[in-house]
Amino acid sequence: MLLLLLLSCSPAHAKNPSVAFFYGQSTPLDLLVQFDQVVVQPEHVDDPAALKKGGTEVFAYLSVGEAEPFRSGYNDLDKRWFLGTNHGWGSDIVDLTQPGWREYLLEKRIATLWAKGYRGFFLDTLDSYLAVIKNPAAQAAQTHALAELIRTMHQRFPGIRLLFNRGFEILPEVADLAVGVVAESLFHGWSPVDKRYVPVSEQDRAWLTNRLQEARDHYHLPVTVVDYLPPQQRDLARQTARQIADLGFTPWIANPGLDYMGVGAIEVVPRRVLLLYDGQEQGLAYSAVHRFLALPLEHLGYAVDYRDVRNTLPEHVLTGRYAGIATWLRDDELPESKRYRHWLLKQIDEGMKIAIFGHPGFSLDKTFLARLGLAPVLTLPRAPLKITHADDLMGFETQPTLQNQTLSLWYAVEPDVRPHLSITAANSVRIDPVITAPWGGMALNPYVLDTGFADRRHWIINPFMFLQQALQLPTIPAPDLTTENGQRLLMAHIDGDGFPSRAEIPGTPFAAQIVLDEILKVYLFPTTISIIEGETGPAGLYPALSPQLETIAREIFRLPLVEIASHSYSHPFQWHKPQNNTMKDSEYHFNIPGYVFDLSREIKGSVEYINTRLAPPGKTVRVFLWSGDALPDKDALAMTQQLGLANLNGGNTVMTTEHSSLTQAYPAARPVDGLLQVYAPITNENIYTNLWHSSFYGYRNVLDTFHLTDTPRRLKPISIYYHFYSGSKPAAIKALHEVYQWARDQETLPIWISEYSTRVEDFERLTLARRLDGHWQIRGLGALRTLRLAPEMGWPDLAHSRGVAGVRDLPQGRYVSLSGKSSALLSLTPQPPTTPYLQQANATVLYWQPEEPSSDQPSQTSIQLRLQGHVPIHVAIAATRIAAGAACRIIWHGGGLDGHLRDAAWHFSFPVTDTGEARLVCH
Amino acid sequence: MSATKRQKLAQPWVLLLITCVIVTTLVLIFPRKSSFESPTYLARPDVLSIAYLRVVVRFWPDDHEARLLLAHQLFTLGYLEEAHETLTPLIKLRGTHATRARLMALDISLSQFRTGNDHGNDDHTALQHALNQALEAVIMDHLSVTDLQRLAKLSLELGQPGLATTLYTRLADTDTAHRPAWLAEAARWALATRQPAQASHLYEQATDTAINTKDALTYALLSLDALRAANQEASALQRVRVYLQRFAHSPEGIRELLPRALALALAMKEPLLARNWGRQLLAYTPSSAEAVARQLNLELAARDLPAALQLAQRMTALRSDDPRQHLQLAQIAEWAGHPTIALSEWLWLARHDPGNNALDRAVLLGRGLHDNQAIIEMLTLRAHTKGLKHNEIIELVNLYEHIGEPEQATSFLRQHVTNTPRDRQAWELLAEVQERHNNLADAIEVWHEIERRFGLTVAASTQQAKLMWRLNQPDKALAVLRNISHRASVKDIAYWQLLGELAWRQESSADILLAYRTLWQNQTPDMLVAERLMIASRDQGNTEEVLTTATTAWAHFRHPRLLLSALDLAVQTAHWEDATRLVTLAEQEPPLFASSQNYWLLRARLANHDKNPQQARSAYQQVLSINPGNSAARAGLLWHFIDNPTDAGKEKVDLAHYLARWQDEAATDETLWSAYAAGLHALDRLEEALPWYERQAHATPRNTAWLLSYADALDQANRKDAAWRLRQHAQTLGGVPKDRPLPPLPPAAMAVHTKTSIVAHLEWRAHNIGTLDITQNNVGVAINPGHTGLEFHVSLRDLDAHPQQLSLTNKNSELDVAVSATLHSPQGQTHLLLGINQRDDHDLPYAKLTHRHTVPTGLSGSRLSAQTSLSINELSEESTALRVGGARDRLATTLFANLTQREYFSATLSGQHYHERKGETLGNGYTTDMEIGTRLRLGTPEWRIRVQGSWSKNRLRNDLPPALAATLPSGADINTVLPDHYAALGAGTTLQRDEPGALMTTLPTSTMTHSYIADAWVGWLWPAQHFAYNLRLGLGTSLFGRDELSLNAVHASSLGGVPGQAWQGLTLRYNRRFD
Repeated sequence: MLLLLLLSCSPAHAKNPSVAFFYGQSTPLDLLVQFDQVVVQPEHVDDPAALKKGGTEVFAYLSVGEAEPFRSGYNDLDKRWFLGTNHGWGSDIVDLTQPGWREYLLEKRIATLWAKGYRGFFLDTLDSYLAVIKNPAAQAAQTHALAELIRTMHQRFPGIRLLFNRGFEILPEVADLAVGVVAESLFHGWSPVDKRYVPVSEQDRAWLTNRLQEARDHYHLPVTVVDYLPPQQRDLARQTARQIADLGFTPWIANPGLDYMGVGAIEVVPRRVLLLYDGQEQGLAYSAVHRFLALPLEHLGYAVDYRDVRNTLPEHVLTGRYAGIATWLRDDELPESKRYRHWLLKQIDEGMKIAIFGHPGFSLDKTFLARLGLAPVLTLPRAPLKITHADDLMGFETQPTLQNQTLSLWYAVEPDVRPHLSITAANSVRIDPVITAPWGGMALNPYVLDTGFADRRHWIINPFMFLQQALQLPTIPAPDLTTENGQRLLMAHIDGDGFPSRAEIPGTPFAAQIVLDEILKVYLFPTTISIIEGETGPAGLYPALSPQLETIAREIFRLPLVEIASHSYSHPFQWHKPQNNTMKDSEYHFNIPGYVFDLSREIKGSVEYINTRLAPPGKTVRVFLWSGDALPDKDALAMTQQLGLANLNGGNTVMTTEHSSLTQAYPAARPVDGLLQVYAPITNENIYTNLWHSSFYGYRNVLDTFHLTDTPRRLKPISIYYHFYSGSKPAAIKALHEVYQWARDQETLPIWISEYSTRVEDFERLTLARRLDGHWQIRGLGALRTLRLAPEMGWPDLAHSRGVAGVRDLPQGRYVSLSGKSSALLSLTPQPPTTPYLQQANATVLYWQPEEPSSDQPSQTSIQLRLQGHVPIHVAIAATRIAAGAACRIIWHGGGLDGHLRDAAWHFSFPVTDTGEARLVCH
Repeated sequence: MSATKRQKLAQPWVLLLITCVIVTTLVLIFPRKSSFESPTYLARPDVLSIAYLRVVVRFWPDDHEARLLLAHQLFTLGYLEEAHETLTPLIKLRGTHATRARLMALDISLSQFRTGNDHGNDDHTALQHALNQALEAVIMDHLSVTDLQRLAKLSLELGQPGLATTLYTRLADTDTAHRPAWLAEAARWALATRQPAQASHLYEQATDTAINTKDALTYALLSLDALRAANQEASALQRVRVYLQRFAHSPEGIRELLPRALALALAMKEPLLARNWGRQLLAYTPSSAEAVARQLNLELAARDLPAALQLAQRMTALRSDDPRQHLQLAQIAEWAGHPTIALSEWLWLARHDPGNNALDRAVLLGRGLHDNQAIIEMLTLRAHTKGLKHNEIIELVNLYEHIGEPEQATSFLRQHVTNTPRDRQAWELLAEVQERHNNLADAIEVWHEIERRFGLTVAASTQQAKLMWRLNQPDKALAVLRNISHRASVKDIAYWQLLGELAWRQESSADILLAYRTLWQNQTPDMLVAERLMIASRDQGNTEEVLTTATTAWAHFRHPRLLLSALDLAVQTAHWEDATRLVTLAEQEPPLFASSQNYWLLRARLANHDKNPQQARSAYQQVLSINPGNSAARAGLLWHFIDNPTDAGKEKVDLAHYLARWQDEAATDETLWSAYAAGLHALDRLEEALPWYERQAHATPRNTAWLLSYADALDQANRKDAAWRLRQHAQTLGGVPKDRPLPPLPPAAMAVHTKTSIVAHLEWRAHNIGTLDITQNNVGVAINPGHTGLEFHVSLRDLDAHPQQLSLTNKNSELDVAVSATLHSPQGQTHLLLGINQRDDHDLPYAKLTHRHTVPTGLSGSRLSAQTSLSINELSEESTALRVGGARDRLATTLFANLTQREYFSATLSGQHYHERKGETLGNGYTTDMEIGTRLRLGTPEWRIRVQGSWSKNRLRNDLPPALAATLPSGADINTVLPDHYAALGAGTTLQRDEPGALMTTLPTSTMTHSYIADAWVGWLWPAQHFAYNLRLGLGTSLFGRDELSLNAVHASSLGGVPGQAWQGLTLRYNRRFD
């Protein structure tokens, strides 16, 4: 704590911008936005605007004193300009007095980048000439020329911002034209000749420290120090960063290629995990990594990327960009196993943590096993086998039972390999199928999942614990998709199927009419409702009924709490036809006479139909709900994106008391070639009713799912999801009533599907970083406004945090409410807040800004706020310390509201769904 | 009478003249006629008057008045005939007088008639006739109203209503002031004469002419009635329409007319007309049940069901307790297409009388209307009355579920089975409902109850097991299924499927086999069944079944996996003919196998077996074309080149090429090591080959064939000694072919080791003999241990004992230095040990020479060896005292025989001389040991049992030497040191994998691994007469590859026959080998 305090007082933290250098390909723009300034190789960043948009200033690398052979235009350079060669990097040291070189730099290099949007330039190799020119007079000429060049840059490109790499010689002349100075190797350097990391001598460090202090103190330039350490020495990198920061400089510790996310004034905490699957098995949607690992990782706050191991695997350094790698393969028969084996070893060597589930994918040889701290079992185990060790990581949902099939035969030999499950055979052979180790961990079949009745699976291992231990995941403030302002999110949406169905009740009205009358008009929740054009429209299956059906649809869409969605034109059963299929086109969707599948007709056409014929003035379709297998391909997703629609459906999260396994829960989304399909948080009544074949009351069991996805971990929001055909069965209607009534009694924050979809996208995009003072920096925020803290992380320190509105401590976690800004700073403290804060609300915070206490009323706390929701707003303001006689009041345009103190919080109930500009005053 | 018929009497003119005269005269003389008019004498009829009148009449016959008067008076005076005659001339005339005459004649006739009647005149008919004629005659005349009235009455009197009709009709014409009444009267009498049409007409006329509406209405009604009486309904219908219009403004009239109109319409089969008039009529009596009922019928007749429905509803409202009305309403509602109304009536009726068929109707309609509550109510009602049939129970249960109340279904069924516990189907339904409702535990309980009540069935047990599995209790589920397996028939497919599935998950081989075998033989072929059966059969070693199943399944499914797994097994188990047959099958569908690496590998192995190297090579290359990294194919191809050299040497070129190409990967690919070793060997690159031999030997340390190959390679590399040792080791492992006996160690190798190995060891050992604790640290080096070589070791020991038990002054530490040499020969080995045991009290040099000679017997597995040893000053541990203060010299001979490969026998005879360390004799004796045993398990580990006996006899001195006595407590005697005789007999067993602690000295580098020993012996000791036992446990393992760490623990309950001499020890030893 003292250290954090000291760090927070150091000058570097106080005023120096955070700086990152990244020259590698595949630039992680999402992570770099955490920094105030970023230096990139412009060839690797096509559009710097993406970074600028996040508030990050971008500097393009520019070699001033050396010509790099790999740059375009190098061959056109006059070789007479070269003074010598930098053997370390293979570049040519240039005579800076050469007008041609200057012309090249200004008009070929800078002008080109300027046109691309670059306004900042990191000027490297400013002092390279010193390596080849020893004559003081000649050196002075070069210095002068360099200074002149800098000035010319400013003249030629007004507003240009220059960051010098060293260039101490020219500071006296042009310091005022620089925005900062950078120097390399203060503590740890890199020898390009020897290709190795080298410590910096005390003498060199002293010399450089003096130069840098001079730049900082005399020329008032912020100073950044870049040191080099191998990726796997991240702890040392952190330590070095603190050392540099203590000197008052901004640190950046990375590898010499500067192609990995190093450690700087802030350390980006990678919250993405790379999940590898075998694309030949069943595709991503059905892959084990997606089905079983993504959700636990999401709950831990981590987002995932998927790669097919049969495709090219990322070759760049993943350390710093990924929190870990997890694989789950179903056999050991990858065709190019050697390549994969090599890749895995490389990752382990670079310090990435790997969690291997199921099967490694190839036969592990002794060498590989030895690298993992394992040894093969050379003697076949003889029955009977016996479990001789199982720790608390095992038996999560079911206890391991002895099985011989597909058992991997190896055991832990290194002391730092920790077996969580050991099996010993009659012939004393020991097998360790579940282990964690410094490099990661393995949980291998058949001791990962137990498969029971009807292929129902249960976790044998605790996936949360295993992932945390194997990948050594730090506990982070977890972005949360389930809760907002202390209340569980609630949404409802209807797929259009069965709109024209006749209700099996006296009078047999249309099912849609029943849903309208009995549900939508009764339960005033925001609901996203779709129709299938092929069912309601005149160009569909029931043209004769269309007028009646459209009338009902119009009435539904006119309801103020209804958000309009499309469920396609012909209800495709599969959005991506498998290859070599033999089914007719018409078997893939409703058999509308004369219709042949057309993606545009399905999406764009159906949306236009609704907008022009059914939607009331001022409302249009906002969401596209996938039909059938709900596995859209890239083209389909792109089309919804192009139309500005949120998309949803897919995923079949269903947990019942009979089968309550976490394996039944799906992650929030499925990425498809850079686009995102958002899954329905909890599946629909079709699944609860045996695919609408029996037990039509079955949807009431969704309450089990709501409960099981809430405790002990809150994994999902409340999501009421059904089809119009639920209106056709009395049992289903009754079930809907039960579900709606239950939902009405919960503390929830109701939102539309489009709003949830945006939160999911934010979850994917959001990045975290840890400042040297320990504060968490969150960027990429949008609609997502909740972070969940593990209790051991403490409480938000409201005084030192920014963009934090409050917190609510629930058994599932400590939910921090953010105030709706695009970034936030979260400072943590062991004590709960004492000043008033938002404990819970059923509406979204649009604005939350505490006011400075006035001198005349120091005991008064005032907060400017605005909340907006879909139902009359209820807000609870809490404070740990409530003095006797204290009171809170909200002043808004509707008048004043006095808070009612209950359960240590002031409760305010608004008669409206938007507070407008309001002010909370607590005395 | 006509004038033309008169006769002319004179000339006309005369006549005319006369006439004129006469006339004039007469005129002049004839009293004026007026004088006869109303003379007073005519006032009353009398004779005079009559006479007078007769005269007048005579004279003035045309004086009609007079005649009439005469006739009148005659009539008055009763001269009826004359009166009538008088009148006769007038009667025939026309005019007023004639009328009067006829009237009078009528009166006369009437009088005559009456008189006749009064006097019983027989000629009544004639009179009647006459009267009638008279009447008929007169009525045509112009009569006065009074006459007419009189005549009318007369006609009626005469029974001539027809005439009356006429007369009244004439009256109507005459007396217009009273025309309607006369017409009505006429009509009345027309009716009387059965002339209803006429009557109707007359009434109609009366109606038309009536001024008073009431009268008019009356006549109208009568008119209609008359028409109906005339059977002229059509006309009546027309007329009633007219009247209805006419009396439209007369409610009373309408009200009177409508019933007739209604009746007419009905009569004329005009139901619509009737319905409409009925509706109008009903308006006058809306609350009249009868009227409503009537109209209801009219509506029904008019087929206006909606209207009928309304009326029926009104009727039901009016008579709400009348089931007939509800029934009627229900029926009409059904006819009218209002099932909802009908349903409510059927429900009423059913509730009123559950026994009638209304309940069925209600259920039927309820189904059609999706009125589940109604059906539920009805079925529940029936359940409470006469009970439900099973299909109704099902329906009720389904309905409860349909409305989303499965709890009600359960509750109902629970109640039902409570009431009718023998209804098995209901019990089963209850279980099913609970299952559907996810009350799995309850469902299981119900199945238990079903079992208890109705006995165990396969289906019920299957269901129970399924539920248990759903509850994640697979063990219990499997147990349930097993419990009933004896009753399951082949037709119980669900049972076998579940058993198979559960057994598969539980890896219960016997169950898997049983289930899938049954399914495969009795069910429609299923790929999964076939595959699992094949796997289970394979695991059970039933190759034939695998192959048969695969062949059959292949015929059904044509899935390559079937043939591949069968082919794999066939090749592995050397069922070459089957393999060939399977390949033939596979060749029927080449595309299915073209990309299967395993298929081509198996083809290659088959080709190798068939000695078709080219085909094998082609198959391997096929694999590599699919997956260039396939290790097995690489190895196979290399072996192909190795095993199939040709004169041209092309293979060697290829071999060298591939060896070079794959070398980098081969280093980490165990699959290739043997091929690389053999390949490089084949290319005469022996030095390169040896490391690969070594790698492979490491990987498969017990593969004797490989070890022998390696040994051959070592031989060729002139490493004779290493080769010999490897072969020797291979022999100890067993499995060396008979044709590969261990060759003699080459003399050159005996003389000069091509490669020297050194083993150093560190050892810590602690053991005790009775009360003596000995802790020892050893350091030693062995050169070529286990073979011809030298060994040095130094031991430093600490001895410790309780002073009261043993005095160790100057004896509590020892330094032991020894050197030994071993000489191996083909027939045996000789070992010489020299050493010195240094102690403060006395140094003791010692030596031992041992020679072992082995003689092959020529019999399989048998070997005979003899060993003789001589030792001097050997430290002996028969007792604590002997260990501390004594030693022995010993000559022993042991005969050891491997009787067979398993049985062995050994016998030892030895003679000992025991002495104190400084040489003073303690005694002499001899010992015989015998052991016979068998190896229950050959190879590694080895398991032996044995019977062992020992007999010792010593001749001891009588006292203890002083030096030894000083170390022992007072009272100790020579028997404390040695027994005079000693015997033991017992049995023991040993489980052993090599020798912990000696591993390094016996095995070559490549086979170093772990070792262990567990030995136990129990027996009986004499003369102590007590039970004894020995235990030994030892473990050894390699830590870093060329070393061994071993731990041995020993405990013996008794030692050497000296009482209280338990022996226990612990030895930790580390060996490190340097080659």
